[in-house]
Amino acid sequence: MKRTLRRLLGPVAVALVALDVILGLFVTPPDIEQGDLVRLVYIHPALAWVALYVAFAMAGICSLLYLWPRTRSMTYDRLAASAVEIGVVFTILTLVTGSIWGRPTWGVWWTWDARLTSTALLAVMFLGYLALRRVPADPHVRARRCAVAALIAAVDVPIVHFSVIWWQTLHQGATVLNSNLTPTIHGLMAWTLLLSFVAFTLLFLWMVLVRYEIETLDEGEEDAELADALEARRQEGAPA
Amino acid sequence: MNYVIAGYTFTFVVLISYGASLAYRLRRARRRARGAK
Amino acid sequence: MWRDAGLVAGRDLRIELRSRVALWQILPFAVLVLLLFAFALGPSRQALRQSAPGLFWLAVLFSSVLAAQRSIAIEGTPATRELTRLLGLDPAGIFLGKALALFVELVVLEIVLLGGIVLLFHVSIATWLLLLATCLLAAIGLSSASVLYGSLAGGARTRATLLPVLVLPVLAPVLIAGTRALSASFVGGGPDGLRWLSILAVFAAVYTVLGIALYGPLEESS
Repeated sequence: MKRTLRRLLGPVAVALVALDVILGLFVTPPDIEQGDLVRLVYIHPALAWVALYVAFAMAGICSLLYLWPRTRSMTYDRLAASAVEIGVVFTILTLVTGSIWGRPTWGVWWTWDARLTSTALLAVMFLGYLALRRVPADPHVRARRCAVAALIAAVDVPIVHFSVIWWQTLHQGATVLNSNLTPTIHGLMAWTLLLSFVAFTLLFLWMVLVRYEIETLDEGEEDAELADALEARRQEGAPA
Repeated sequence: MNYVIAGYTFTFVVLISYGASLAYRLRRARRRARGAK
Repeated sequence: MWRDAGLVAGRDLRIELRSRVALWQILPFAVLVLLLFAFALGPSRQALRQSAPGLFWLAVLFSSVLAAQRSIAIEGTPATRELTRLLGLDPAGIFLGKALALFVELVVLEIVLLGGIVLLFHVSIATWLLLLATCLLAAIGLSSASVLYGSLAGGARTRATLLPVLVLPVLAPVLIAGTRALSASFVGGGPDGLRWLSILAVFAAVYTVLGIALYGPLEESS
């Protein structure tokens, strides 16, 4: 049952995303205020939701589970790492699609509003995690370090969030930009928007599972190589 | 509309390339695991 | 824990006093950063005065990463590791001690840099109390977070380039809040100093607690 579900997840996710694109680009009507630009609402918010909430929460929760002695398992370490890696991709996509939407809407490619700034910072924190992951170390040591890094970064995020919001709104002479890009939405548009969230979440989960399997196989292979090397050494020492 | 096309294109070029790289890495990892056995 | 903290802090500071690395390398670096900023932003008084708070904290941030590298490097030497094991020092105490020593170094750094921006960036200070609170709270947060991330970042070679990438994004709230609070303490500065102080206080508290809790588990596994 689990296997068939996992097998189905990929094709289903891709199909739903494709449906979202078709509806978003061709079937749904243009918005009264934003015109065709509203079509970006069928990908950007979903990407942001996945990157900022799903990926981030998954990384945080898995890291916590790994650090907690009773639930410690390398599974959580690998899941967290997978979530962060796919999360980085989605975060970058969020920033770029947001920027593309912002250009015709606000006239600028970038603005230092609270959400964009926090997202950019989150992207860098994710990248830092991945950099840490690449440092050669015993898998358990690495797992512990990465879990701690993820956790303390996660604790920092609310602090960053408030700092940036106050920075934007309290800064003398700040232009009050309406960072809420979502127009009033109803009917087919609303359903497509909902579809986009479901589709991209499933896509993310599928990618995480694939990445997780890669990680598991790679780690198993390292163990196998080590076992082979130890065996060879032992053979050398054995009497002829 | 150009912006919309740019946004969609960028998104899916990235997602598809990344997906392809994942598929490649998975196949390679599976092959190596089978080989080691 | 407190006794061990005092021991470790004393040791770290004594090492610094004898080797004077912070004095001869980190302090000049910090001043140099200020000078480079001045070159980059041009001689206009207005521009310099406005950007002074931000530049001050940038200089502090970059220098604190260097100082943290030094602090962690001390722990890595075989002699220190032997002694730590023999003495059975409480890891939480070690963390507090190192953070304390780094805090002292950062405060000295801040004093020098303050002098720098008053002289070079044409800044006048209005509210000394706010200034003091800002600098102290920020230094606590910076030292705790830096020592904690320093122990995360692995061996000496990788740590040299990895630590900045790891710790600087996390320090962003200190930069934002510190800049706003400092600017509020200057003549003609902005309002809401207390609000920014609260962020600095929360950051300092959170990272000190996290460091006390997590430094031990991190060190024992590496």
